[in-house]
Amino acid sequence: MKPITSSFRDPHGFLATHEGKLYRVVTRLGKPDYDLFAASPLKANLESTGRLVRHEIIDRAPFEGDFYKILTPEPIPFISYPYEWSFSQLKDAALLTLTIQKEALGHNLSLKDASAFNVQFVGSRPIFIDLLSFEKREDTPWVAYRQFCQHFLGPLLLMSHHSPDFNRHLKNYLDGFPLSFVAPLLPLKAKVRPGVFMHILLHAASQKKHERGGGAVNGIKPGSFGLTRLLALVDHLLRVVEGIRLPKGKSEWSEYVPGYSKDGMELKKKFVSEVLDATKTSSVWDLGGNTGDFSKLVADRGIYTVSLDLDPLCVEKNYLSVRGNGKPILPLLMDLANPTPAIGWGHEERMSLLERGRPGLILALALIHHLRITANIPIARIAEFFSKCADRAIVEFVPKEDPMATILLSGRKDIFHDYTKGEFEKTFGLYFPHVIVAAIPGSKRILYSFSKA
Amino acid sequence: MLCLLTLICMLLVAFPAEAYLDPGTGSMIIQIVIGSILAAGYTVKVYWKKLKSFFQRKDVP
Repeated sequence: MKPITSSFRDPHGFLATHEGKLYRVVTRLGKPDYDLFAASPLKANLESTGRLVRHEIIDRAPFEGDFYKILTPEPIPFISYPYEWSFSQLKDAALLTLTIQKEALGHNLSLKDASAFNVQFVGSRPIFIDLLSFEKREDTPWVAYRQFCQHFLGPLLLMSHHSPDFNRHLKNYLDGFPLSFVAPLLPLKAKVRPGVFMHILLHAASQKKHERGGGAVNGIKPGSFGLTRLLALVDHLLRVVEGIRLPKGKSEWSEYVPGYSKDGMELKKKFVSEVLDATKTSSVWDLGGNTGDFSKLVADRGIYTVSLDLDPLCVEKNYLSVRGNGKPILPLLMDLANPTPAIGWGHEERMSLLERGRPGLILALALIHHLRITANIPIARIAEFFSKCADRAIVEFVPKEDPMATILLSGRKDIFHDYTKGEFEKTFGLYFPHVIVAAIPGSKRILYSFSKA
Repeated sequence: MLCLLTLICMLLVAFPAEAYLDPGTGSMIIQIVIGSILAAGYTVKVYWKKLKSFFQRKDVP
């Protein structure tokens, strides 16, 4: 049994792997709260509505140890992190957390943490993953209020008022943005809103005033913060979060219309479809997936598709287009020239992109000229990275003569001597010996289906 | 006045003994202030909803 490296803070339990299977272990210390939650109708309700990962109790312990219970959680196809979500993904995760807290209060339970890492996405559906987050409600203020504001409210406000990808900076703040960081960055028009004033500005001021006061308050006074106040607080947070919007805007790529001829686009779709049908893979990463047109072509075959793009508005548009329709597409924000690293304690609390699984195939359509010219990554390094991602790749080669590549090259010296059809084929051939090729009619672009075997 | 209110809040607030998450003293204290303000409005909202549903039920033949 090997504990998962991200699961060590809560003494009530942890996640572990054993012989390739994932388990959630409840410690003896976690027994009272686990029993309370397991017996509550809340658990059954959250599971039946798809808002909580289902867990199966294991009768015979698969490994040694003095534990209270060992459970197997329903698998999450691909783990993602809040710094990879679009605005609406983070907002939906925040609303899920608050509605669960509101319902929990009605069952005399409460969330003891409100970490954004407790939410995952199965396709476009947010789901709460930590069943050990529930504890008996006491008549005290909400212990996870600070964490909720740092993980959700602050980041959402900064995404709304600064840039839609402000959450990228959460990589530097694993416990969310400190409110003393958020408050001065907000414009006056945001600060004068009652919700922001209370939950961010007053909250930050109170934290500053009492920053050395941790040990000063220890006497429990039952009834100091009753159910009505807790419900009022959560209800207000719900309304504040619901009211945060992303300003209407367009980016260079969110409105991009590919310049293919009708025949060209048809061939591209046919080529990708035929490779997918022949490959019979169950997972695909669509690198540079834009708003997800080809991700949808993949997902329509029931293949779980992670659609990665650099542009936050493309990811947002992609997410909104699949939200609620059940397509197995997970849109995520990812700069492939600087993909998500492993971070946190011991460099192993949150996984890098490549540590999170290996798809059967990657799609890299109309991407390689951006990696080679804009990001200045040599073809050999691109081929090496693609081969680390998967054993199969569909790559669209966009030559220097292509109008889009010409734009990227204009005004700069052409130092990209390895960016030719011949060098591309030779270098990719070193990593992927098997290849199928098709020229796209009406353009100089070429599609390649590479495979290692 | 603010100091007095803060002092009262500090006496009232308490952290659960076994909490693994640091709730933050300032975050706990401010909730008492914010919660008190919001609770009044929330109570009115809840009773208004109850009253509305009571009359709406009566409308049904």
